Order: sequence, then C-alpha cells, then structure tokens
Amino acid sequence: MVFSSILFLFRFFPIAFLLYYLVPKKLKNLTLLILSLFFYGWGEVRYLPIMFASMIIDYCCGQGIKRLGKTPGKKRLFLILSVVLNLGLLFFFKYTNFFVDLLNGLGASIPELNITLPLGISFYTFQTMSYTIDVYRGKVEAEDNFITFGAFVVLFPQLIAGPIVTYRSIASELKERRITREGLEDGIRYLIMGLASKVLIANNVGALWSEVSAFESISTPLAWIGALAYSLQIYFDFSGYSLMAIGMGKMMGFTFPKNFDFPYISKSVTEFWRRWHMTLGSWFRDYLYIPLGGNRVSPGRQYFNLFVVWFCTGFWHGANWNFIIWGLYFLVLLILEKRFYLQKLEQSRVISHVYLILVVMASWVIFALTDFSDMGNYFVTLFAFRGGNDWIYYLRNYGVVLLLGIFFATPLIKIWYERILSRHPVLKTVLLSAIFFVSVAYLVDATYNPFLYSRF
Amino acid sequence: MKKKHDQKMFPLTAVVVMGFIFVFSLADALYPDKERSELENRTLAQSPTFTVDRLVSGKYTLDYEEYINDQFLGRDFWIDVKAKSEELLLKVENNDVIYGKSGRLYGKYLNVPDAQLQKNVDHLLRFFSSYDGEKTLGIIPNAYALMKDDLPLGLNQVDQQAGIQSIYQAVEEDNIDCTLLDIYGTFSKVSDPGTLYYRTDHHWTIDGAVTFLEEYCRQKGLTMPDLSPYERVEVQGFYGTYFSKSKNTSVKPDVLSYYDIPLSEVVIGGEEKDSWLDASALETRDKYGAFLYGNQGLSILKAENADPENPSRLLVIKDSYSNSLAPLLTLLYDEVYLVDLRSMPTGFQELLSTTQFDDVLFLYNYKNFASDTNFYRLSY
Repeated sequence: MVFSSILFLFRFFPIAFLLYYLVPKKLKNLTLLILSLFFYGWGEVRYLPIMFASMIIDYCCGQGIKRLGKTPGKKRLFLILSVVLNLGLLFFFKYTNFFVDLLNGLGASIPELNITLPLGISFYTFQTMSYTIDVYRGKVEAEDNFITFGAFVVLFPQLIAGPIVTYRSIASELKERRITREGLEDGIRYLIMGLASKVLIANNVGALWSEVSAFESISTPLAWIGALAYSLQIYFDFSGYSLMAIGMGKMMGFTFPKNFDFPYISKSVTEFWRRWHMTLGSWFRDYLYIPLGGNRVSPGRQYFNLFVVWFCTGFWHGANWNFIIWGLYFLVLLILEKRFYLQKLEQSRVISHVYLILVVMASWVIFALTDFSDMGNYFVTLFAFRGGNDWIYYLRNYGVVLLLGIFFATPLIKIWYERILSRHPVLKTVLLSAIFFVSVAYLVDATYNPFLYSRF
Repeated sequence: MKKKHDQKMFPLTAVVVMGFIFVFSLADALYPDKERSELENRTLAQSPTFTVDRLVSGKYTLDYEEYINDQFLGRDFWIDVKAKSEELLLKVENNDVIYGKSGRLYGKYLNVPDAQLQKNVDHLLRFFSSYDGEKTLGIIPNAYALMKDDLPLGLNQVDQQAGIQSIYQAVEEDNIDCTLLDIYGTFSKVSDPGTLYYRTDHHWTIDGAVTFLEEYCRQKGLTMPDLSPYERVEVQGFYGTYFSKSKNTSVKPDVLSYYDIPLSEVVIGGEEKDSWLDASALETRDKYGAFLYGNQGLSILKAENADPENPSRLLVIKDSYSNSLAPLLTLLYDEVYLVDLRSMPTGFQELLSTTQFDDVLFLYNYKNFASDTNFYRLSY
C-alpha cells in the first residue's frame, strides 16, 4: 500500500488511527504491529514471512549480544550473523539478477531468477541492522519485548520509503510516548504537505519527464526542461513520502528524523549531501564510513573508504550500473570540492548555486536513465545544441507547475509559513484543507501516479 | 510558558481534516456501488471476489484498490475539481486530451507503437496476398493531422500523413492488387476539415463519412449516391470520448447527425434488429455508440431494394469509424457485411470462404490500425 492512494487515505488511515487512539496505552504497540503487518502484507502477502524473518533474526541477535555480552567472541558472532543475514536478504532479492547478468556477460549462462523486490527491503534491512550494531556497540539496550521490537521493524509510516529511522533514535518513544495537540497539528500539516508534494508537484512534473524521456529526439531546451522536471519530481516524490512519514509519526507520538532540508539551495555537492536524504547519509557515515576508519586514517585509505561509501550509496539506489556511476560521480565531485574549490564555492553567492544545480541535474539524468545509450544520447542533446520548437509546448503546459515546484523547493515557503500562516490558525486550516482536497481530486483522477521506490 | 501554550492551542487543522477523512470514509463505505460512469463512459470496477490464490498473487489487493478508487464517493465531482485545477495551472491538456486553440479536443499521440504496427502491417499483407478478390484499403487520419494550426505550438504529434503513406507503400511493394484510398488527401482538400470530425470525440462526423464515400466511389468507378431523399437527423448534446477523458467543462457539445436510411434487414452480432440504430443509446452521453449498437463482431446490413437473386456484396473489416458509415454503403451494395475483429475471435476465414464478395474494404483509423492487437484473427 502506498500513502498516495485513496485506499490508504480513506480506508487504512482512518481505521488505523481510530484504533490506535482508542486502544489503551499498553496495547498501542501491539496495535501498531498488527496494523503495520497488514499494511505491509497488503501489497505483498508472499513477502510477510521475510518480514517475520527479519524481526526474529534481529530480535534474537540483539538478545544474544545482550546475554552473552561478557564473551566478546560470541557477541561478535551474533553481530556478524545479523549483518550477514540482513545483507543476505537484501542481496538475494535486490542484486541476484544484477550479478547473474554480470556473470552471463562474462560467458556464463545462468538463468535469471524471477524475483520481485519486496517492498521497502532496502529501508527496513538498514533499520534493523542499525539496531543490532548499536546493541553490539553498547549504545542502546537490547529490546526484550518482541512486540515492541516488531513494531519498530515494521512501523508502517517509515517502512517503505524512509526516512531511515534507527532504533536508537526512537528507542525511548517506543516505550513511552505522548500524543500531543501540537504533535497532531504539526503531524497533519506534514502529512498534507507531503501528500501535496507527491501528488500535486511530483506526479505533475513527472508526467513531463516520462514523456520527454520517451521521445527519440528532442531539442536541447526541452532536454533541459526534462532534466529540471525530473530533478523536481524526485525531490518532491521522495521528500513528500518522508514528510508524510514524519507527519504520521508525530500524530502517533514519534519523532522521526528530518530527511530533506531544502537540498537544492546548497552551494556545493558537499552541502547538498548534508541536506539530501539525510538519514541515508548518516546511516552510511555511522555504520560504514566510521567503522572503516573514517578520516582518521592515511589519505590513501581515506579515499578508499570514501569510494566504498559512495559505491554502496549508488548501488543501494538500484541494482544497475547507472546507479553505481551516479554514486561515483558524486564521489569525484566531493573529492574535487574538498581538494580544490569548496571554500571558493562557499564564498560565492551566485556561481555556487548555478554550479550545484547543473551538477545535480546532470546527476539525475544518470540516475533516471538505466540504459547507457539513452543516457549518452540525452547528454549529447543537453550539451550539443539541437534546435526545435518542441519546448514551447512543454514550457507552456508545465510552466506554472515548474515555477511552483521551484518555489516550494526553496525555504521561502518555510519563511512564509512561519511569518504568516503559523500566526493565523484559521487561515492555515483553510489553506491546508484546500490543498488536501485538491490532492484527493488528483488521486481520484490519477493518470500518472508512479511509485518510484519499487526498485530501491 | 511552553506548557501553557500547549494547553491553549487547539489543533484545528487536525480536527477538520481528520474529521473529514473519518466522515467521508464512512459515507463512502456505506454508499451503494455504481455500475458505470456516465461521465467517463465506462463501467466501474466492482467489489472483487476474494480467494486465497488471488490474494497471494497480489491480484485481489490490486483489484480492491481499483474498486475503491472507481467507487469513491463523488467521483465525478473530484474529477471535475482536478480538471478545473489543471486549467488553473494553465495546462492545455488533461488525461492525454489536448485542448485546441479553437476549443476542439484532440487525442495526444506522441509515439507510435512501432512493433505492433509492424505486426499489423504483416498480418494485413498476409491476408491481402492470400485473398484473390477485389480489395480496397483505407486508413483514416485523426482530426489533429488535418488541423495542425489548431494544435498548441510545439506539440509534435505523430505524423499520420507519413505513417499512412508508409503502410500504403508496404502494400505497393508487395505487388498486391489493391485500391488505396487517399483519405488524407481528400480530407485535406475540404475547405474546413474541422467539419469532418467531432469536436469532443475521436470519430468522424457524418460529413466525414460522406466525404469518404465520395472518394471511395471516385476510385472504384462507382456513382456517388444521391443523399437528398433521406432525412438528415440531428441529435443535440453529444459529449464524446475526448470529453469523457478530459472532462473539459468549457467545451461545447457536438451535434450528432446521421441519414435515416431504410434497410430491409439488419443482423448485428447474430441478432436480428429493427434498425441499425440503437435509439436508447442516443439518450446517453456516448451517442456514437448508437450506430450499429457499438462494436459487435459481425453485422450484416441489407439494402432496402436489395436484389434477392444475385445481390452485390461488400465486406468491411473495420473499427468503430465504419459504424456511422455502414448504412451509406448500402446505397452502393445490396448487402454490407461488417467485421469488427475485436469482437470476432474466430469465423473470419469461414465467412470469407462461404460468401462471395464484390469488394473487401479494409478501413481503419491510423491510430487504431497501429495499436490493434487482433489482426491475427484474420487467419482464423
């Protein structure tokens, strides 16, 4: 089930929240566990066993580490077991066919497996791994209550598309949380703005991109409009989902971490990655980069560590070469910035923004086009001028939506909210209700409502 | 301080929006399901039956989701809200329907399904080369191809003139003895090609069908029949398929016209009918569906004064464009057989071997020709 659907908003959501609010405190986690399992099972009943396996593995590993904490060797064994099993699940379901193709390319003839990616597996394997690793490190206590732990693993708001919530960050709230009026009011606002980001902006500009990328030949201006559209689509789609998750979390008394902080206003790629998909970045930092030695190692080793992190970041986004290249593209830029021009970028007021936007738009072209000849052609069109009047139509038809997207991608919207709306509750309610209302209309008559994370 | 603020604050948005969700969900769940949508001109998804197999395969939940969407309370209203919002965003299209400058609606057609088109050309060639009798091919362009100036600037729709030409060329290159009707050329010579098509529907008007008939007669060496003895009936308030898709509320309805041509016998889908016109469909929004009762497999129309001994016969292999043309053809042939492959899985070859035809007319709209998946039925 995805959040941006009538089924979710007008069936699952009211039932889930009504139940959740009505049951006594003691039963809230159990309710949440059952609701989340239903939410997950709705799309893929077949994959429920994987979810249970994931819960049981990490619960047992956590307990193992806790009980055998005095013998470092055994403690380590449970950590390794958890990491191997979690990554094993992820590898089997997500990467098997990638490696089969790779081997077949080298002369083998292995038949491809017919597997579909279980929804959200890239997110929840990372979340559960964070639990075992933190228990091992002694940063958090192992959870004894299986229901509480299960509720964490399958917690429906953040299950399928992030933010990546570490166990550590919500451990206390899993046991004791309060539903406040402010939480409710902020939560519903986040939920509505997230829904609108996805339905009103991302789907709208996404339709532009899907048309443009299907053409055999387009003009250079249209290629840029297409790249802009996709840049906005992926941002609003992704951050919209995160906002909805954070909002629903708030409405239940959870505080999920922020996932996007206006990334497109960054002045450098370095800054961009501090603002884009923040929970993934910090996950890789805490659970991969730092364990590898981080930057407290020789320069050569540090480059290697960075390479591993960015290779994995790219590969995490999809089992395809273009994602790996996408990750390494950022690695190169980050190293270049660090060695040569990061300071200059930070001092510049205009050029740095232009640089960042261009570099990021190009990255999304790599990200979006899995076929290398398509990608090559697209880049040729972007940089070797090709005329035509096709862009006139797309600019005319999508101009307003693109401008709205650009506006909402800047903190102007936040400033505007804080200065005006937050002081006029009635006006705020009217506006948010209207936005919700229009979003519902777009869901009812949805022509283009893709779920971008099906390959994540 | 903080606490005091918290106590005073009333979560207005949460109460309003969640209240709306709760109440509306309940009302939606209790409201009885509808069979079909008049506005969208289609049947709506019904509650799916539950089986464990369908659940495991994921089919049940998918169908259920579609069911909830289709039956959502006030669906027409929501659709209207979306169409209006798109207009506010200054868009000139909705749901793949383009708004022309003159207020006409056009289908958005940016890419030809090349593989299917090639398959269909192959099926056609195979059929034509295996059939020895008289043959005629006509590919009808869509309205936009003749109304380029009315399209928004920079919209690069499929070039149907070139597309039709390449199909004709394939027939010529195969040395097939077949009359190729230049419908595109004929239509483009009409002073206002807009009169040949509906504004809110993808079909041609009766004037389009008549103009086609003139070209057919010219190329076949037949005399164009005189239509003046027949009453031209006009039905007001026709909202066609483009309207149903775009729900553009500012568009004016079309007038649906037809000639009241008497027939001696009408058999549609194996059933004998009083008329080729389904009068009840004229009361609904999709009035074009009245012609030949929609898309039935085999329809047979017999002219009023048909020669019972030695009737002349025409076979039309067709899509829905021919539904309005069919009665006009009885002015040229005693018996007109119409085959719609979409509704006729088998029996085509049998019909061909048991019945003698004076001409076989293969008449399709270009977009339908390129995307139809039933041409293989020509061999069955």
